Amino acid sequence: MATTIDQTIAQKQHSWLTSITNSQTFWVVIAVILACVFLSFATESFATSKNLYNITRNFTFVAIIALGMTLVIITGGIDLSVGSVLCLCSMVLAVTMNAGYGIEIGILAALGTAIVVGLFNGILIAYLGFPPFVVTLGMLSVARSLAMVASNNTVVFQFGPDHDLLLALGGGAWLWGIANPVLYMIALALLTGFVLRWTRFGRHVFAIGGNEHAARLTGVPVRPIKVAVYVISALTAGIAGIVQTGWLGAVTTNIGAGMELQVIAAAVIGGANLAGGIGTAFGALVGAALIEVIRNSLGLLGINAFWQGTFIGGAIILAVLFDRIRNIRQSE
Amino acid sequence: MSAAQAAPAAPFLDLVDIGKTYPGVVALSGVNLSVAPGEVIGLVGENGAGKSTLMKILGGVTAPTQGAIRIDGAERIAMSVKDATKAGIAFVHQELNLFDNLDVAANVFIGREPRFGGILNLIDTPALHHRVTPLLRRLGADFGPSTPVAGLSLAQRQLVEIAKALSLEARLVIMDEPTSSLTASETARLLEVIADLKAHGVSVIFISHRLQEVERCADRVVVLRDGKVVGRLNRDQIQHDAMIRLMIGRDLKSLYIPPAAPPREVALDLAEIRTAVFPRQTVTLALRAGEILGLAGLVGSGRTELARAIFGIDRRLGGRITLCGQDLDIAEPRDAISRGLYLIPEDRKQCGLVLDFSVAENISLASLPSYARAALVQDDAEARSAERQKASLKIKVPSVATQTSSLSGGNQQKVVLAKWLSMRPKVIIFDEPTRGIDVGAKGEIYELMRGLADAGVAILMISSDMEEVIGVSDRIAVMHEGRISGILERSAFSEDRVLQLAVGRSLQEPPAMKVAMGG
Repeated sequence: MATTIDQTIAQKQHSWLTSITNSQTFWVVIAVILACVFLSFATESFATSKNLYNITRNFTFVAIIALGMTLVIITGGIDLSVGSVLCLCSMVLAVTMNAGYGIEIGILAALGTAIVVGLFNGILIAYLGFPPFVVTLGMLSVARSLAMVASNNTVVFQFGPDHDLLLALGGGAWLWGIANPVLYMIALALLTGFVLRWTRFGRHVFAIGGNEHAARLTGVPVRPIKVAVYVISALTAGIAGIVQTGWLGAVTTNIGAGMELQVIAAAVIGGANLAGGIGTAFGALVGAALIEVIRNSLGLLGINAFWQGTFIGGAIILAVLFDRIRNIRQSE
Repeated sequence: MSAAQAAPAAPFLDLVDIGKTYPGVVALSGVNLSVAPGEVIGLVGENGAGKSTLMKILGGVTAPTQGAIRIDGAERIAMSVKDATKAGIAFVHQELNLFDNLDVAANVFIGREPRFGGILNLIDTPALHHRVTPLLRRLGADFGPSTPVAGLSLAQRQLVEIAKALSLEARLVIMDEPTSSLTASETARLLEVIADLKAHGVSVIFISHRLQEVERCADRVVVLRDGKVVGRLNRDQIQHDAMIRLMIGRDLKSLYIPPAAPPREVALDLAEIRTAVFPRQTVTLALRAGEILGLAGLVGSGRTELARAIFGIDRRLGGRITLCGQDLDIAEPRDAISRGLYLIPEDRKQCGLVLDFSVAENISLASLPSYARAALVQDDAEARSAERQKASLKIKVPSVATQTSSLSGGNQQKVVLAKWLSMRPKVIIFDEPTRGIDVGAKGEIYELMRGLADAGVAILMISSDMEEVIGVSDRIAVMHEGRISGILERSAFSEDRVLQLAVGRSLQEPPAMKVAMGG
């Protein structure tokens, strides 16, 4: 009996170690660290607190939305509408506050908008069997257009009586000098990680992505959970929109344009599998961080900005390449 | 006929002493079969007799582990799919392999389209149609080359498959259960087509459970049982009863574990259930607590569809389900599960398990609420419960944290079972509970089923394995084309009776049997 326990423990430790070195997230973390170390030596401006502050703040918005996107991707879906939803929610917030309402009303209106969009996406996908790609592609167009309608395609930079409060919410640093968006990101990441690891809901999300049919036959409420996942995705876009509005101090109708691709890239680099069943909250952050570090470093190293897309695209393909190699090895 | 009788001197295809062994299973042994040009051979046998393995060998999908294949006298040990096609062997599969989104002509010549335009290599559609049209005409098809396949009936699709075989200049067409979904007039048409093929010197191997059709079209019948040829019948010997006698006729090992107590009250009452596959048939059946009711029938007789309708996977068209005296209104599997009605599906990898999950995660998936107070999953409670199930079901796995995909079939099946046993089952439907499971694990599953029945669970066991149905059940209901063709009490069990009912024949002597008529 003692041997079996020892074996079990040994196996657990073994599997713990291999599961870490096998995980795509681990290698992406290593890549981020190596890049940072390299840049600290290669350039003088990288390791300055100002630059690091910039990096962290820049990637938070992508990272926050990548958290919601990771949930969607784990269920085997995709949400292309997040960039436009961010814009729509920002605009709803801006227009509401501009009209003289308080920040509470503005935030509620923005989040309410996100929930409605998420419900629309989710219900069409889960109950009417629409392909996620199509529904959210449609919403990408609709949400941005609605933002233009709401603002008459103008820039809003007056936020009524709670103007300063909103700017402090997004642009301040309320705790140990850490930028507020970073604080929100960390809180949301902890929450997402907790939900995925410890809750029934999280388990069901993984079950749906792993084998939707078996999940249904086992009594998992597949449809409500799929709806919830799209609502959460839209909500993270809404939250990012609110924070970004406070940080930028102005809203235009082209913010968040093309952001969905960055968000999906972050989730995928972080180890989320577009076929479903795999993904972590930590991975979403790390993926977003890697993208931002690449972007930042190209600037600091004086490489032409036109190369950005090549490097980020290469990172996506490289990250997944590791996963493929591991899979091919396993199947042999 | 005369061509077939003159032919034996030069058989087109000759299988000599073919054997096929899978790890632990002998699928075929010592099979000899020769096919002369223009000969129609009926190949019959029960589910699992080795017919499909033999077909796979003929098609070049798997290689035999023993024996030789001779084509036109040239011997080869194994064939690839390409070799088989080149030799002129074509298949018309039970599940037709057509591209729904393309038209008839494209399907017939898929991958071999006539080309033009030199380097552009364009498809020459007029030439394509020109070549397909005469084939369709020869088969008496009532559709043209540009008809989309999506709109064709099953019988018409079959003609497309046969046209494809002819376009390949097939010398042997193998038809697997070609008439199982055809109406009587469509079947008659198909038999005419077969006669036409025969007249043109094309050989046909006709695999079917429908013995009357084998009687009508075959020159010779070869009967397979347990991977061996157990009988060869010439034209004048081909009779229904003779075939059945050869198909069965083995001693059944005793699998039966008698129940501890007689069955109790009715647990699951099905009243006039109609499913989408057989909309004109109804099923009425009562399942008692404490009994194992076997549901026998041929593949495609509507058993799985019935189970899916009961469990809420597919919507049923009509009928009432009563569970322990209460009406069951099931729209989703969730509803069935919440009332204690569970299904162990046929395809455990596709429908039963999340293979990426650990054993413990799979076991707890159905009953998460009981480990998830306030929606949080309690790992230790989950693992403890999984360990309990692992011990009581003897699941052979180093740890309940092991990923389920690495388990053997038998152990995976136990995990599916464990998922439900940690809850309170009233009725469990087993769909092919031991398919693909080795013999040792089979016995354990049977013991578990009996244990459950003795604990008061009502068990409905769908099985195509005759040995299993007769060996394990307390009663057997037999389905034929969407209806219950008969119910046998244990004292009246015989393979012959089950098979007679399964092929839709009523029994001559009705001992201890009641027939529930559908419709």
